[in-house]
Amino acid sequence: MIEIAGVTRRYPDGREALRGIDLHVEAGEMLFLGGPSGAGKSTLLRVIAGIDRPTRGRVSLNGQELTRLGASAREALRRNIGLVFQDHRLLNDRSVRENAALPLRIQGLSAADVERRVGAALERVGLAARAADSPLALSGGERQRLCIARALVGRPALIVADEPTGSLDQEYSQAILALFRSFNLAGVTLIIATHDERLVQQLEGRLVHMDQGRILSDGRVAR
Amino acid sequence: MMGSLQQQGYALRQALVRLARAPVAHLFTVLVISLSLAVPLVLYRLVSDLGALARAQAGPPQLTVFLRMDASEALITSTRTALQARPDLEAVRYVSPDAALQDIRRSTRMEDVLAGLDGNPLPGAFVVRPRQGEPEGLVTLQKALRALPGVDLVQFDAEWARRLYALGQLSERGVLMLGGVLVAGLLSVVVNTLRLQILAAREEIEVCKLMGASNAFVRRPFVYFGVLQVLLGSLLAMGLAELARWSINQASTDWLAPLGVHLQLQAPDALEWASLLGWAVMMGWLASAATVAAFLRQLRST
Repeated sequence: MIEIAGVTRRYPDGREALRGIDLHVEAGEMLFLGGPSGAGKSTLLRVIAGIDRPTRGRVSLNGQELTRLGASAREALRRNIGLVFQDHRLLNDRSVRENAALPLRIQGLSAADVERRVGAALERVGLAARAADSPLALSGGERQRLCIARALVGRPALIVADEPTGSLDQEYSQAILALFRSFNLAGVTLIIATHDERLVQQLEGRLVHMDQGRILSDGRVAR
Repeated sequence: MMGSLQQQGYALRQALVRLARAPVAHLFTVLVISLSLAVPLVLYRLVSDLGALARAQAGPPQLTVFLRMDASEALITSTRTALQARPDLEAVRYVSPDAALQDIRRSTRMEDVLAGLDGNPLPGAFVVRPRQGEPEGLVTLQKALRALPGVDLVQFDAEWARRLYALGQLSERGVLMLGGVLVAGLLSVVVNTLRLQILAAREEIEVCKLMGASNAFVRRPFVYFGVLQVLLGSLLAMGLAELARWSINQASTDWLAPLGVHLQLQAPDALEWASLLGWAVMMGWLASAATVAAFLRQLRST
């Protein structure tokens, strides 16, 4: 599904966030990107999601080479990827329902479809009762769950999540990871960046450990 | 197609939500836009109708074609025929030497002087009214008439006509310049309001772009917002212009009509109103689209 070959990402200030990354991710896989802050996890996620362009190397998604796509084609590709941000990036002047509906608005779905799919997504993350509330009224865990609902509402085949449990306590973190596990069991490919590898130990999956823009290890984690 | 309609509807709702979020602030913006449109609109109508009134008060331009003293009846007839055949003349009237003398007798108190004359010293003349009153055209016509056989002199008050025409042109140019300045003000209001809206929605735009929103999806609510503001401003401008027209007409009836001056500003017809709306909305659309496009370019480069 995802093929990354020799990817380097250098920022305008000269700093190299990724250095010659090679990675292959199969459809339906659950992959954790581990490593300390500054290891290059977030940059790799952005490159995979087509948000950042690699300085060198090649990234293919379902056979489409991202590096050769124009801006509008990359936008179209991103519409089929669920994104979970570390800082949530919710719109505080909109309701929980409208935040979750945003990807569907971008896709131009009908009002009835939006209503149905948002209702199902909020139900799935346990926020159906808070649909009319402002995100500002939610706790940290609820905000993260809303962010996940927004990522899954478009029924993407791939979800990339950047530190989805970063600001949560142990109990909430486990609930969120259980949610991701359920998506993975339904066939969704998941790539999750986390610096907390203890959480990874609780789930089955593949762990790619990174540091200073390089992959140090790549192996399976079993409970 | 359905997706596009859904997105148009969504964009329009977002624009209305933005307007409803700060109604008082937006009302003032709409008011500024409406004044930018209403002032040149009223002034243009005023200058145009005042010009027509001035031309009416001054009377239609006339040229007097004096024949030679020895002009025969045959020459008078051929000159009349030549004048009547000209497409640039609206009316041709012959004033015989006797009629001219009678006129002078009626309009002056020079009975004694006229009685002392041996004969009638006045030549026959044609008074002609051209179809258009543009001064340069009148001068050309004057030269053409002067070249007719038997014509001694062609007279008209070229200076007066030039002054009246220049005054009208100057007023129209002044209104156009004022209109240009006010329209530039209108565009600046639209662009600045939108810039503030875009800056306030920067986070939202960034999130949408991350999720794969096209530039059109991001641009649409802001363009609707700009167009709605200009549309509301135009409608208000039409109301204000009508109010001003009614007020000027009322004052004219009260103050000028007793003096024999009948000035009534004409209401624009449906086509003029539609042109104003269409033009203003197009300007609003262009200004909004350009502002958002500039922001998206800036966003992409950061």
